[in-house]
Amino acid sequence: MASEMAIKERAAHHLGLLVILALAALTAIEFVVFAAFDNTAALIMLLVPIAIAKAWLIVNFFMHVSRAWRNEESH
Amino acid sequence: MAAQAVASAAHEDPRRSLQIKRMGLWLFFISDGLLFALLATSRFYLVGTHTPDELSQVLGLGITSILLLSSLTAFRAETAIAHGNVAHAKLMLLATIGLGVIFAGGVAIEWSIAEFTPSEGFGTAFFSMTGMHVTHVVSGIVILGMAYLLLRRGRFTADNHWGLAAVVLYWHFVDVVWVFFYPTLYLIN
Repeated sequence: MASEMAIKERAAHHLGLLVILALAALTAIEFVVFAAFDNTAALIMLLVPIAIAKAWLIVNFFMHVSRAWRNEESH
Repeated sequence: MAAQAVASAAHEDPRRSLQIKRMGLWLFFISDGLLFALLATSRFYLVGTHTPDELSQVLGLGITSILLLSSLTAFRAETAIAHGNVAHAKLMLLATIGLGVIFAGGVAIEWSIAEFTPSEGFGTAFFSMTGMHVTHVVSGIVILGMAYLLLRRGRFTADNHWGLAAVVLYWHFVDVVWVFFYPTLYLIN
């Protein structure tokens, strides 16, 4: 039972690591886009979807938004 | 009458109670998120897309990275307590608090070196947005500290840790706000 919990915890930590790597990559892309483009419209068109993608990663994987409307898990 | 029915249902079923707490917290995020969205809108209303060149991009990127990293440590704290690993949860909560303090310090440095004033258009937006956000960060640090103390006293277990989960959710919300504030204040020009 204890080892099963440890395995599940490791899997969750692994998922967290993948999410933070994706967030880091998207932040780096944001900065590159900022450095590469002078055109404001192009900047907005590229930066807004990246920000939405980053927010989705946090809301979905870190905040577990789907749990908010579910009733089966306990804390 | 309806509130009484909800309270009664929550009292009878702990899982229903938890669901109501979760939904309440998400409703708070939505209302608080609207406030932040209005602040972000005011930046474009006041100065359009103009961003002063003096704004420190290195510092902006640095504090953004720190806050994103703090979301990972907060997530790990919640995951650890959910699996009964109290020691790791304590460590990760302390790391989150530390990273939060560094972020707040970074914003303080940004304020002290800013070459624009609050009376200028961009300054008004910048100080309002970062000020409101860092207020949330500081309150997050305080409640993370309280959660840490409760964790040390054994108040949270694998089966009962809503208090800690709620604090962590709040911390992630503060991070999500910054995900939008960072390009709004630093990158769009």
